[in-house]
Amino acid sequence: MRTFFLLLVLLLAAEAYPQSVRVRRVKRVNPEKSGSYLLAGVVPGSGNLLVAGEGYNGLSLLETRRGRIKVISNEPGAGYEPAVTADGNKVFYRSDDFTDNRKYSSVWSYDIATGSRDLLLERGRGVNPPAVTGNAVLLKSDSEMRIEQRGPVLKPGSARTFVVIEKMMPVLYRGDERKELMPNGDGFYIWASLSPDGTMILYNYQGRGSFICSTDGKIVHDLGRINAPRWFNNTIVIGMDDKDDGHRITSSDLVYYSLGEKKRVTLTSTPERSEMFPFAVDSRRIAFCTDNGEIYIMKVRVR
Amino acid sequence: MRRGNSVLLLAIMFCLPATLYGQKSDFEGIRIFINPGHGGHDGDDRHMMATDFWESEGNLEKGLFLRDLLEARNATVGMSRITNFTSDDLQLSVIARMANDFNADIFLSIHSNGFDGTRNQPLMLFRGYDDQPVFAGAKEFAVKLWGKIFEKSNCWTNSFQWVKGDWTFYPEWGDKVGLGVLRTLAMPGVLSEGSFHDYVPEGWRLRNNSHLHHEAWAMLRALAEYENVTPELAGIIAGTVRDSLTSPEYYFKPGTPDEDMPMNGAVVTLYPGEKSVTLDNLNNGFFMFDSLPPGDYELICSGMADFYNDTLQAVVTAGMTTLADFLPVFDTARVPVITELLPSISDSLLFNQSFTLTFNIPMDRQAVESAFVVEPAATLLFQWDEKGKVLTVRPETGFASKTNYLIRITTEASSLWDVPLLSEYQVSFVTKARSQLTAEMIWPSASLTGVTIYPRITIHFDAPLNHASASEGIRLLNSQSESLPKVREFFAASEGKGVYSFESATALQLNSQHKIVIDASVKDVMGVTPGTASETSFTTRSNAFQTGYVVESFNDISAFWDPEASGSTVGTDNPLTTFTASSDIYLTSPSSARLDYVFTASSGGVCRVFDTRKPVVGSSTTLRFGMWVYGDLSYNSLEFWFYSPGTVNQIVDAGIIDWAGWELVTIPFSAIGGSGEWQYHSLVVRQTSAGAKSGTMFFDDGMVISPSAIDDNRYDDTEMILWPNPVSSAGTVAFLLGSPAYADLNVWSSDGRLVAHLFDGFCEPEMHSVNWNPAAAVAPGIYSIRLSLHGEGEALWHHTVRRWVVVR
Repeated sequence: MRTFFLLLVLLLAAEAYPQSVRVRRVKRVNPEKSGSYLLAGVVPGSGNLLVAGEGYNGLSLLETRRGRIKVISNEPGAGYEPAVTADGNKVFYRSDDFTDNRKYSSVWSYDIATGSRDLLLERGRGVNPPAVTGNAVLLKSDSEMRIEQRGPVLKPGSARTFVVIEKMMPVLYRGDERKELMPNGDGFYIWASLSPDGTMILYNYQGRGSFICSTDGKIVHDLGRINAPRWFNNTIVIGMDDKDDGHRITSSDLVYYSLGEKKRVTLTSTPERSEMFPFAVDSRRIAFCTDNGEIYIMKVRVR
Repeated sequence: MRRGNSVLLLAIMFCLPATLYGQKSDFEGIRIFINPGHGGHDGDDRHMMATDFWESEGNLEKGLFLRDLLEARNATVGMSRITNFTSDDLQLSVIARMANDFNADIFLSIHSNGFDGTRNQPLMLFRGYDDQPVFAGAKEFAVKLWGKIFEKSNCWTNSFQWVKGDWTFYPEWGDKVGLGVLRTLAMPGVLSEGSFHDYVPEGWRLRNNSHLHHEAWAMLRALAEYENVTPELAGIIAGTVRDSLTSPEYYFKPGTPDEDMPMNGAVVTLYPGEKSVTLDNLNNGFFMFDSLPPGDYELICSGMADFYNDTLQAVVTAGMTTLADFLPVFDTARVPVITELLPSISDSLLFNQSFTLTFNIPMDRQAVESAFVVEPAATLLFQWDEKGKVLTVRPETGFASKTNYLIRITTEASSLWDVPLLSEYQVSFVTKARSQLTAEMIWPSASLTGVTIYPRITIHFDAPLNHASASEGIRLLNSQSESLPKVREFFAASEGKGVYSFESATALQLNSQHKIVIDASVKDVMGVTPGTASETSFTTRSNAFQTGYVVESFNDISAFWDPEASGSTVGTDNPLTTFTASSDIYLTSPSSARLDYVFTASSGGVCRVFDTRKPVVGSSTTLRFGMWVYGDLSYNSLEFWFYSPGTVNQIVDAGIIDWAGWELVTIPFSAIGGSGEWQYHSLVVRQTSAGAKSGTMFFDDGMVISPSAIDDNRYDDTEMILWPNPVSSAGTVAFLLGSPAYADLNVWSSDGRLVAHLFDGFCEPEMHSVNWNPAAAVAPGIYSIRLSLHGEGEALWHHTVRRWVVVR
């Protein structure tokens, strides 16, 4: 009995602190409508992907098994950083139009079940992509900022935390608090995101490397050269190691960084294919696209 | 109509244009992201050797100036970099993400272009196909930007509107792959290739900040038009100052302003306002006056030696550039004066002494030669520089031994415009006694080992030879003292000296001692003999040459571009510098390629031959690249140029050309920069300070060779480290030798000048370090540190080169 409990504890510990990722299989997703796609996100719980067209124009749901496409929007910019509620029911996206060659944007909510759309943020200038925590969404433009609950409340309002990029720096919104973070000093902060448990912020500092800081802005991990970093879970970050010659992408491989082991590992090594912009589909799958617009699902084993 | 209504109507009409078109007075609220392409002086940056131009520097200067212009007009500007260090060489995905997170309205990536050195025109690229842009606004902006950049200059080689979708422009990259920096933009973006930095005249202009700023002004105009912002109320006057009597030595497109040589150091003054610009010394002759209210202006160009001041009228239009090119008139009334005579000494001159006279203005060559008298009489040869200002005179056969001579240039000598010398010019000299014919240089030199089995025996004498006596009295003996039959005997007389060279009719034996015998009966054109016979022994290489996989046979001469069209070629005499097929001298049939080159100056010449086939040589760093090269003993430098993926140029120093005849020249692949599939694309002869100004070489069978075939790669792994890099006031060079060698360490400038001699001497196989403290006179820039190693008994020097950046 003691042995059983010991094994159970070890098993739980291993599940609770996953450290390393091993690739099991990679499979291409063939959308029913052929074309060049950018991977834009995933829908939690469904295994469906969000894909965009060239220039992040348009946004569609891609059912990975059969490749079925369901168009959410054909509007320009709709595919740039859409966000999905934790319950997988609502997709929020920003749409753009260029009037007089100036960018104006609106934010919309799309109900996956019914296909209905709601306008959340009126057309305006300086509209941020929507940021989601749980089933709440933060909406921000040059002229307003508000948070809307669009599903069951997972955390009370005072504990809800969002991270967005404003004026090229990560800004933390927690309850009524707004905190500008510049863990590495002045510069461009990009690809910022909050960890699933809401305690850490992942970002890339002007291409010099990716970092993780606490919500107080203290750097806790230096991940090295990882672009397009995303949380796989609370202990693993995935991203890409892309190379170019100043004009074109010459290669790109997927990498992950284990916070526990403090090491960066390359997941792919495929000179003929440039894997880019990965997202965690669930605890066993990573989706990514390639430089020529193909979509793939990678099955992984996490230990 | 009532008076009140009239006033209202007038007011409406006055405001109509702005109301109709919704023009904004400035860029308030408009977000523009600027990406000065590349970054740092390494990685994927482009460096043009001929002009020492770095694309990363030009892109940044344009970008910073454009930022300042935009911010002064209340735009919100983001930049991917504002400095130029290696860490600024950001990945393209990062740059695009910056622009996305910046939420820009428009994205502009700033570059300059390169191709083959013969083209100069703006190229605008947007994402998509030509007729199917991903963002319609991107193509709209690209068209406007192309127009604004094109109209601000008159030095283009092509005039068609070159605006392309990147999917159409780069089909070889794959369908819908395109430019990495545009791929993930969430707004319209354009990559601007503003001009061609490898077109040498433009390369020099790109060294001029005003020229770079002028392009930024054009970008501002395009952005204003694209964003519907009121055009600039001020205008620009820009232009060049050129010498119409002189053509550049580098390639230029005939019929363009670039066919006249830009003038350095002139002063252009603008009236009213009396603003002055002093032209730089970077061979561009460019000036610009910006932010000028519309109206009439006068420009006066001054400060040019031998040229009259010149005046131009210019009308400035708002938001436009007015081009004003000066072609000042030469001062034809000036009295000619001999400003210098070399040599300055007059006693004990050589029998074949040449004299160089420099005049202050171009001379009538025929009149000067007719007015040139030497007493006692001697037949003279005259040679003029291109402008007719420098005359070199030498005796055809030689002056008499130990004789007093008088040179007179009478007042019959006149300038190109018939203005005579004011008075007769006289100079006297005495020749020294010359008792014997001297062999000043013999190759292969005494005791030289490792000599190719296809040598061209070459002997330089202090006087032109009597052909018959030399052909009979100079012989090559094998180890059995048998005289080897000679072929391709060649005599040359230059600068009062003589050269005799020949080849053996058959290849020499390997690892065998040979002798060059000069009999006492050999005589020069004046009948002077060596007095006694002499012998010079050398030993051929010990191992046979290996063969490899031939990637370039040099059998199809049409695949190669003439040096003047190959880009990077500079300082050559274009008509006399040619690359042709040779069915006379070759190593493998049916032919080889022959390079005849003439450098026009004493340093800085670069002769490049571009191979359009660009054969792939592979990616393995364990292999070597080799080529049969028929050396001309010129002591110039040979380079092989490669592309690493992305057409990034990689230059490999193949050593000094210190042999004559066929030699297999090899370099390790590990010496080629970058990684991936390399392509060989050019051979280059670079003029050295000790190198000959002209020569003839042949090339045959470029190949990939297994390293086991090579026996002289003992220094390939020589490590040389420079720190700090960049260096300011104090630096150190460290090198680790694996075997003992004689070492020579020098610092060279990008134009081939020896900047500092740091060390020479014998070195044990261990780490050595040498300090270099760049003097204040050493200008900021890129310098080459060359370590030359020569083992005991070795025939060739082995070179390792590193780049060192000097900053102040």
